Amino acid sequence: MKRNKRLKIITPTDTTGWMFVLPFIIGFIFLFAKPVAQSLMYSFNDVTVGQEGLVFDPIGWGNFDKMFTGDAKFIQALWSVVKEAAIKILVIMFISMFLAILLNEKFAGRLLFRAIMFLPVIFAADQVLQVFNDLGGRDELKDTTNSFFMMSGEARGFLQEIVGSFGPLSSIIEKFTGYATQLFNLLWSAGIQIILFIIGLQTIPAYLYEVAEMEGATKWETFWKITFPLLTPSILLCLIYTIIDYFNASTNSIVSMIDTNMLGNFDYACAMSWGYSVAIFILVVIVNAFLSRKVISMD
Amino acid sequence: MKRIRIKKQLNRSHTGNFLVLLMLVVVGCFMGLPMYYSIIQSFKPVEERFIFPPRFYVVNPTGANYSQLFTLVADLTVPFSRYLFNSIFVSLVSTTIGVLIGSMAAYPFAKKKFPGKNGLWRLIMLTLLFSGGVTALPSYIVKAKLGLINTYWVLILPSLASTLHMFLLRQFMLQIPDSLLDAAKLDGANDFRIFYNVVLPNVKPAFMTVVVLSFQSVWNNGSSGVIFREDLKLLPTALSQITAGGIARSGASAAASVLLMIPPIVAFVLNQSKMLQTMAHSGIKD
Repeated sequence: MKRNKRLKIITPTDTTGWMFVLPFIIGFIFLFAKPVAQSLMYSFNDVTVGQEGLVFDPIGWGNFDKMFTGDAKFIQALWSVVKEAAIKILVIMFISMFLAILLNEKFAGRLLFRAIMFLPVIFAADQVLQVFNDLGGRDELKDTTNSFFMMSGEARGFLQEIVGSFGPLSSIIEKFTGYATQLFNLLWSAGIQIILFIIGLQTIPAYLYEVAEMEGATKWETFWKITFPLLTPSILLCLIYTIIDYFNASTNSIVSMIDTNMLGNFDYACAMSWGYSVAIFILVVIVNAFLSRKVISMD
Repeated sequence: MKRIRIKKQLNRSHTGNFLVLLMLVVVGCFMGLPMYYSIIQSFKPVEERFIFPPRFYVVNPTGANYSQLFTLVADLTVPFSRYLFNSIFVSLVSTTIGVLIGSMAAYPFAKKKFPGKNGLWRLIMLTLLFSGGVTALPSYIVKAKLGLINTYWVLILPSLASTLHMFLLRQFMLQIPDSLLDAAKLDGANDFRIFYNVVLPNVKPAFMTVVVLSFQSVWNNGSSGVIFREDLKLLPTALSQITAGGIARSGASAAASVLLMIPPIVAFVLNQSKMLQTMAHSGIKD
């Protein structure tokens, strides 16, 4: 009896939880779940536009068959997106954690640098980059920044002239301009992660560092023994966030493939979207299952 | 011995500081470039604006783009203040209610047990991964059937249940020690009180970040496709209508995009001290 009561205090299994969740769930059902469920329905039909609106003709797994066996492009694109993502997501994670640690130190002008790093968060990146888009007349972030950094033939020719004098190094420097473009894109997709890491760093109690200092630990040791372990919840959070953000970006080749199929081939686009989402979902579940055991909490 | 060590440390930290600063400056340039460029672009006269390769400086700065924008705005059938009101109203209402609903939902997902919790969470995560383009058509049908088209609601309601913001808040709430909540419970606080007085203050930086994120996304979201009444349109949509007119109005367009940056910056500046506040880990003694 007594034991029961105690358990209840620690883990309340009542339904008040539902009260808190309810407003969210109502909105969620109407504005997210319903459209998503409808798209699942579409993907099992052949959808055409008739005179009285949409006409559905059930075709079972037809669209999914086409996706995984008929359409070689989909599997190929999925594989290349996942391969590219693996590297880029790791780089984004590394960059954002590194910058967050720098920005968490005290130095003159910290506020200014923080504000600059948060620019991608303050603005929707595409809003700002719209001005760039006007230049090249293209709507993809990647292309515009490419044209931006590669500049015209002249600027590049000039660069090559300088570079040419270095002989064999020239190809490396050529690559370097490519990396600058990549870095630009990656930095612009690391904004929120930097904030999340800074918040994570600030939840680490200051007394731990004081103790470490008194014990004579070096900065290196302090990082691996205190900062890194206590940052693991933030790492998991950022990783999942980055995965979601990366795979839903409009520059992604699968997303643009889905978008081009949206017109005219709507049911197939729905099926692709489902296949894609389930694939990412499995990925997130694996990452979560694998890493959440390694997360160290403060309690 | 001791003195030497101190000297060494000082030296190291000087070069270290310099390297850190250098790196931040380089990264900062990358980050600041688009904003700097769009500001510069808005002050360029026509003949400089279309030079290719683009220039990062302006030879003859001019305010003509801004005055063109203001004359265009003055000639509107619907007064400009109406668009401004629409945007501010919609952004404030959806941010306030949306963040409240999101954080309320995040609390039980992080800290409580209730029937169906895990299944519901997986479902929410799955929709989070769903690419937005495909749901555009079904969600338009839902909005139309609910009679939301051409009302403020069509702009407000969809942002009220933001899965992403809820997910972020939930992850931060997971880190609050259970003992803190148990202590509040033992002191006789009910769930709403625990939520308001214990959970929210403990996730304040994350909460403020979500406020800024949510304001920014609503503010930048146009009303095209769901609002056809001129007097209900939002500022970005209205401005893009005015400035759509090819090269002749590209200057006004550049000026408009700079002006539209201001509110999110204000929202950030107002909140930044709270966003980046060090969270006090007081109240628990182990």
